[in-house]
Amino acid sequence: MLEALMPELVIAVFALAVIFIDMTLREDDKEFLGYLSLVGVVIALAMVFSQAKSLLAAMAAKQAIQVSFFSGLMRVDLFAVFFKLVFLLVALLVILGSLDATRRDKYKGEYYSLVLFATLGMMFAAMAVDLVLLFVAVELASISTFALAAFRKNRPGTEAAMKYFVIGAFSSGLIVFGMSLLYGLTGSTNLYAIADALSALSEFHWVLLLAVIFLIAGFGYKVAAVPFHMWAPDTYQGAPSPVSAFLAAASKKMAFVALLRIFLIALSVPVLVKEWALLFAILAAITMTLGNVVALAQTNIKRMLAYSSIGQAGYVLIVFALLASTQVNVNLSIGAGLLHILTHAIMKGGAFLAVAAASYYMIGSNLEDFAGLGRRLPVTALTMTIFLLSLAGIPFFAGFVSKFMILTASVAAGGAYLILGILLIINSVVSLYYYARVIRYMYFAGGDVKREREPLLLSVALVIAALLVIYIGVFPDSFVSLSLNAASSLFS
Amino acid sequence: MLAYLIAIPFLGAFASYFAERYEVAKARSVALATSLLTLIISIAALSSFLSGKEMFPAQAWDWIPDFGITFTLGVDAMSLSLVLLTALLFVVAIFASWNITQNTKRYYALLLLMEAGLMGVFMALDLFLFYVFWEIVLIPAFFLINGWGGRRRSYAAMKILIYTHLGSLFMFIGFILLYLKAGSFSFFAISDTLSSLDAGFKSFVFLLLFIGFAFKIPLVPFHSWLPDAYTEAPTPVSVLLAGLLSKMGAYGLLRIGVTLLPETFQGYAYAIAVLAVVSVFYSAFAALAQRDIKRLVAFSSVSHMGFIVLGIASLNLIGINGAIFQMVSHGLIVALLFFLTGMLVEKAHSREIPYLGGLITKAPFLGWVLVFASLASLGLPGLSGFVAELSILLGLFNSFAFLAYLAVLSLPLTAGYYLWMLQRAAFGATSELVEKARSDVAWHEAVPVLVLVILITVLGLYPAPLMNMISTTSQAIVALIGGI
Repeated sequence: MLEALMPELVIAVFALAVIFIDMTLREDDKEFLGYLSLVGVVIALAMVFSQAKSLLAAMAAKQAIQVSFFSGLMRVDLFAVFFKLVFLLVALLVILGSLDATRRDKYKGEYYSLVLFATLGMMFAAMAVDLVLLFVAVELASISTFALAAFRKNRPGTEAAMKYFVIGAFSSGLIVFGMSLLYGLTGSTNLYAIADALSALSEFHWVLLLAVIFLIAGFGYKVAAVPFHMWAPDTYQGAPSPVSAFLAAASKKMAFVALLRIFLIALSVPVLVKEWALLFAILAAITMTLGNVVALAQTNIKRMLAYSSIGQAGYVLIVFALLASTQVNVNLSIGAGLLHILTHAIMKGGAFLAVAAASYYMIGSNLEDFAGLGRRLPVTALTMTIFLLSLAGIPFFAGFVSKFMILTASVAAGGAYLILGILLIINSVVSLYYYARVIRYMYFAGGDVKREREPLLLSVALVIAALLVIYIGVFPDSFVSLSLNAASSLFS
Repeated sequence: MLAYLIAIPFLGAFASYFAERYEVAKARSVALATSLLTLIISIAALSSFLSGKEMFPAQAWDWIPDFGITFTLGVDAMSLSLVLLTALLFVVAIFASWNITQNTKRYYALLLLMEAGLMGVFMALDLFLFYVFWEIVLIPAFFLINGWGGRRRSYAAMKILIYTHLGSLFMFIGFILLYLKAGSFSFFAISDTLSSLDAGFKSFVFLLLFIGFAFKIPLVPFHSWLPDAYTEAPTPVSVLLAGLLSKMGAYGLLRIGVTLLPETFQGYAYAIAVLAVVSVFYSAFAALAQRDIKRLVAFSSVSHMGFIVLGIASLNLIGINGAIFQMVSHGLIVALLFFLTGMLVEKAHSREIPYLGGLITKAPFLGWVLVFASLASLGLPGLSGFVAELSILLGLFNSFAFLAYLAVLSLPLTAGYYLWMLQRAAFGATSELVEKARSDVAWHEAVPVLVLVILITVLGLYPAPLMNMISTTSQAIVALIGGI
């Protein structure tokens, strides 16, 4: 049992270690803390990786393995492991980038320990199959990221953090309310017990619908789905870029884990599925359309990335809508969503880190500031181009594969779901315009600029992310089957 | 062998970039060597095809087994002629790039990436693979127009990117629908399952696919990206856009639209032919009104692409033969014409027809080649364009006689705008600008021009070998719809 939780223990120990060692170090030596947390994340990542391998092997051999722990409080299935991989990968990239990006900042100990604690919360959220644990884990991650958003005490930073905090606290309230209604109806906080109790329910209860609405609204704020999105652009713009990367690439994905677990396990009663799938369909349609259309008008790259991130969350929400269709295999639609969560985490995280690399040289995040970046910071500009093309869904990049899977799932569902697929491609075309615009500024605008030495560790983070994007795009095979298997492990 | 046709330009792209970056060799030399090597390999592929080797498919690897996606390459006579055309036009394009001096390492790398993509499109026998290559061609084109194009380049680049991407995605939905029925993206698996599907479904799929092809060819209501893109692109890229990218659409229409969905295509054939006739006339009239020779050639190219679609829509042996022949012939002629417009700007300092009067006296080589290319393009007997258009019209007479009469009426129009242009530009009173024109011809200009001129003439005088080769493909296509 302890073995299954080793990665979390490692992260917890390193997070505490960072706090305590912080007290003994002089200000100049605090960079060490960043390297220390990097080591912790790498160790945890290796452990999660081997967990994934053994789970995959067990699934291939159809062996029964113990996945539930603490009397059904959490499950370490491939689904959980998949998300833990995503979170740790993002944490790795963010910490690597932060080593350069926050070099001139104070409070490094707090910064890195908060990143680790947030990651810890996300990892627990990935495993939780009990409402209480799920809520505690989500809060651990949320509260840590509130503080991270406020890391720089300037005006935009404070505004960003304030907005994020108020909305975050409000949405937590909504979530708790929804959860308490579920508990009141079923008398249990365990997701599987809730599912049993609900299927025994003789008639449809309106309180159930209320619970669904509260949960969708509460987590809707966390994934920044329209109309619960207004905090995201301000927060992503105002927060330090590595933190924005962390929020968009990891924090948002945690809300998706929670949504997937709650709706697919606890609330998957047939009568109910139709109701919430329709809600998700509407949410997906307006989220992707509004996100992408508003992104067109942005002149600030971080804001544009924030809106694009809203649009991309809309693509994942399509997957929830598809669950009401009998035409499409559940594993295909969930697997598509999972792969898009993974690829989006890498490419969006990478894109924000590229902005961080630019701001290292005091280059702003407006479109005009990026003029000539291709000559000034070639590695940053090239990797940014890769992330943007991938976000737009150009073949041979990761984003194309996951978008293809979502599109296939929605085409397979047919009928009215095809409309969601067509909206997806129209939005994709719209998004290509504003991504290509950034590329045009980076390479085909701006006067004479000198090439600068790029920050080493940030470049390493960018190159790792870019290589992953290309690798997944060119050899998607293992990632596709990983996400399909992870989807199927959710139900086994 | 076919995989090398993709791999070599792809690797050559990096080689030419890094060779110049680390000052080992000029990017241009590496690119030229790469494209020549590709040409040699494609000729070798031709010879092994002619020796009767089975190449349809030739190579296959698994790619994404969960979705039945394979990396299958193969050629028949049609794709092989386009592969050869691609290999040849890239050599021409590199010669046409001689005067490009800024950022050469990036320029040649992008050019070669585009070649790899185009080769992939013409050889892919898996619809997913086809789509992937189809889309990837667009990215180098976007960068090339944006980086080395004319004054309104960023507008033109964005327009071609967004428009054709939109069309392609509709096509992609069509592919996915086919995949869901067949359980595989493989061309052969899909063609096996298709006959059992109901007509309404096939008709829907065909419309989706047609949008993608029509944007790329382009047919008239889908063409608005073209004049900007062709005009603003740097000369070599215009050569490639008109010579090869437009062929992607026509090739797709034949390879996928007709071969996979023959009955459905038959149902739509008349409508498509009408659209093509509209396209032919609209762009011929538009060409008549142009002052800029490059824009004139651009519209004339749309008009000729319309002829290809007419040949395909006729759905009989001679018509399809003509269509495929026209793909090759138009590729050669339009390449020559765009190559010339590049030389005009450089030597006579203008592409505007009114400023080019008397070209033939001041710069005879330039003038006479312009005359030759215009005559080839308007379909002078003895040159390749004539053979192609004649076959297309003959085919069309057998299928839709009325449309054929209409299409014939466009020929004097085409002759009209070319001859009128020649009268004002090549002949006529010598203009001030042309007084200062240079008449020198460098070897890197003469060689590609002569090669193209010879090929156009040879194919015009002795079309039989190519015609016989492509008619193996046409026969197979015609057999699908039970025609002769």
